[in-house]
Amino acid sequence: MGIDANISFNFMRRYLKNNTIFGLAILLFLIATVILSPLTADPTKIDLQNNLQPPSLKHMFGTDNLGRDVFARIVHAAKVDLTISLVIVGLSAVIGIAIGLISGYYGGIIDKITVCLIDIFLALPELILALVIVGALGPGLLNSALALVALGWVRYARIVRGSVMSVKERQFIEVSKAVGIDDFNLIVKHILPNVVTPAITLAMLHLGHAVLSLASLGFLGLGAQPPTPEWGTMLNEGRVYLREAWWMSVFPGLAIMLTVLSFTLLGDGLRDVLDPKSRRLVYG
Amino acid sequence: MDETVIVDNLRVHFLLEDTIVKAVDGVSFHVNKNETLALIGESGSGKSTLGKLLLMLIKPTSGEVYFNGLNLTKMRDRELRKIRQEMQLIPQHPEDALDPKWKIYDSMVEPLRIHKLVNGKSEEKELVYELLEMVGLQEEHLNRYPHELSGGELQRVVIARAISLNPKFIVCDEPTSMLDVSVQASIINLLLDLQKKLGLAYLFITHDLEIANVVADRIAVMHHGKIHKIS
Repeated sequence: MGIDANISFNFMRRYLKNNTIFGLAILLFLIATVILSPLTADPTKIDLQNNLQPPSLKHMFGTDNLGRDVFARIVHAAKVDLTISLVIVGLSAVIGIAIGLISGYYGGIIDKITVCLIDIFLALPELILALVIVGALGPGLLNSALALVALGWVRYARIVRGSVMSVKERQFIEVSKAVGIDDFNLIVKHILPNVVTPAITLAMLHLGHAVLSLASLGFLGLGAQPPTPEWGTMLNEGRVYLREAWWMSVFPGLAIMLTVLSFTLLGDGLRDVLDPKSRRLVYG
Repeated sequence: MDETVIVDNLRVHFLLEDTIVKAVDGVSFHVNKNETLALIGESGSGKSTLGKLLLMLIKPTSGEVYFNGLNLTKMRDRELRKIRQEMQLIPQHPEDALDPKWKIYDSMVEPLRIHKLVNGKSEEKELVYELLEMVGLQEEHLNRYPHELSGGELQRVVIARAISLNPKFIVCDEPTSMLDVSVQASIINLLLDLQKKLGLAYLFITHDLEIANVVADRIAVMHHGKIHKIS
């Protein structure tokens, strides 16, 4: 029994490790395509004579209804999707961590308000909230990114707040206070380094989630506007031609799937390295 | 004036689920310069709370604390941070008293940096080596993290930190209760040596009557938030 458990445990560890390597490989591949994107055909060049061509040597992933090269569009969309997602995650993390630190450390009325906000945000379905915000701001890549930041900080705030509440009771905090440290330095130099690890793991998982949300908004016509190539928008364009030209939808869909998979696997791997004790941190 | 610390009718009450907990309930005493006042009592008698009250780490419900003639209870946070140079805390759990993410060197110079007592790296290093020698640690300890040191070594680092600011008064909150008996003796000897050298006053919180007898000039007995007897 003990040996069996041991074997399956080892198997699991190796499995997780290979997963992480797989995720890393996809990510490196994505980064390489982004770097090499200038070498592809012009993603916005319309060629109506050659529209809806199936995949061939000239057009690896075929052409769309306006005769644009689907491969070029996917590669250029990778640049858009990845950078915007990175910005969304970065801003969400900074805002969420700051709010979590302040609310966890000071408590009181600030904390009550924050907790209330967190509960409201987490109780409502995220995509519908994003739809409401983008609807109010007007469609566009920037506005959908803003909407996703407005929703994204919540999980960071929650996870950081919880850790701050336990760390601030520890003795080294009290000892530093007794030495005469001010609140700002105490929070930045002592509390932050001791609570930031789970937030880093969360950020990795959030990246995959952000790509998916951004593509969802694009698919609904609220994200990037034509002719900007974006995976979700491409999916939407291909939807109408699904019977005649499957390649218009399948390839952007695959790109989204591989990207999200890559970040999720990397997030899992990162969690195992940074925080071996906690085995579950689910995003979404 | 011989008193470093005077405590006058100090109370702290907490509200815990509709019942008032009188952790410290009308306590008055004083600590003289260069003297060790041992505070003994069973666990839960409020002795640690009292120690933290003297350092204003907890605000009292009522009553006054005077330190070198200054009323700490009336002070603003900014003034209080300055005055903290002169009164320090040595806590009960040395393994949790240093930031686990900080190297020993950084933890040791933190008080000096906060109060801007050193100019430049070389002066800082010189002071750190001086402190190392005073508390009996080696240079090799400086580059380690807290989890790489033993309890006794950690407590020495904590003591070095506390005396680095040249305080007049230190609250020792059961500084040896978490250590091996053999290490206990060496830490207590270190504290007594430093007291002679630096002219420190201690409030020595303990539940061990034997240790109290060794270190104390006077002993106060605390029970249910009140001091019953000072000898």
